[in-house]
Amino acid sequence: MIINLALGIVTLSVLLVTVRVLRGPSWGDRIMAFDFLSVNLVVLIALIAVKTKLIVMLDAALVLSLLGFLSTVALTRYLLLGRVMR
Amino acid sequence: MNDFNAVRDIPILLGAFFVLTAAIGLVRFPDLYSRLHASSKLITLGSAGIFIGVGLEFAQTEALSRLAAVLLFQFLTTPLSAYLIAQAAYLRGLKPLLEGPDEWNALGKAALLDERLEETGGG
Amino acid sequence: MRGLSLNILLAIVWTLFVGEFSLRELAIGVLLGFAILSIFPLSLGTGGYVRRTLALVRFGLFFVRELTVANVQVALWALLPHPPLHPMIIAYPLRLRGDNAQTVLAATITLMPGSVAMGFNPERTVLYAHTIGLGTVPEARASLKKVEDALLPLYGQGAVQSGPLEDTA
Repeated sequence: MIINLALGIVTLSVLLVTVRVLRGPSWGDRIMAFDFLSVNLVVLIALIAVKTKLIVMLDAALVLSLLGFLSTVALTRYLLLGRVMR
Repeated sequence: MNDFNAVRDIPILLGAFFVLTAAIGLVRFPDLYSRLHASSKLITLGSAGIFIGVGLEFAQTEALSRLAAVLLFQFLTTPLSAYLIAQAAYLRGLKPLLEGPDEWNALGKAALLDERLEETGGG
Repeated sequence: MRGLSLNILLAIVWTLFVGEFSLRELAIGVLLGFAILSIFPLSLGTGGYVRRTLALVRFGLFFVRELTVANVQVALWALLPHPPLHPMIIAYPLRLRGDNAQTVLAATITLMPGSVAMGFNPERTVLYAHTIGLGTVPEARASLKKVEDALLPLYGQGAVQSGPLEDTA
């Protein structure tokens, strides 16, 4: 019951942030919104784990939070230096 | 509300509320740097609340260890990604909307950082 | 290092004493061991460890309180029709030295009310932060100084730079 409500609220925030991804206006805004989206997805997966009572879902949440940070670092490096690695 | 469990549900609801306000702030605040305040602070406590609620729901070692890892990781990485985004946008010349002074005074000077990274081999 | 190993040893002794090895008994053992270490700091030589642990706990409490304040504040601003943002970028002369301490400081400041760390100068003596809702520049500096003061005991005297930077902050 409460889990469904929380899922609805987080989904609403995902939709709101999608507006920010589409509107921009700068690349920094889009990177920030994508970072925010990845954290939102981690939260969504944790809530779905409660709903389906599957602990395996939390592994997916862990991996997704790692990947989200990695992609943010790569994107900011690309924005700042014009390349990700040497 | 037949299965309302205060210990589990209050952190989840508070967390969801903070995540939603973060999204609202992200849409409403005037420029990137103000939006970073909303995204970095609110998402940290919001996701922490939800993870604590989920951990109380499962109350098993397998779930708690993973949630503790995710929680710790969020606390470590959210400020760092906010820092990286602010620095990259500022040094690439995205003008902040200011009502006070700009004491850094290095807007758009990414070249300085480039040289430093070349020296230290951080590229 | 000596204090930490003694503390863990005492916790394990406690679990053996109770005869039940579980996370709860281990936590109780750590607390009891810490109490013993803080009662007899001179004979066990654990004064530094006790001080550092207490500083860590105090910083944790400070951190949680300020994080809650920051969240309620920003949530309120996100919902108000005309938030009093008053954004500015300030330079803060650092007293902390060392990459580790400065990274922790930058990360903490990002989660504190009204400030987001943006960068360091090349010499790593000044931290630049974007602030909203902190009024004038001296007020914003005072707010960052509060965070630095809470972090200073954690990194000891070696990380402190004393000198002319003191009075500009």
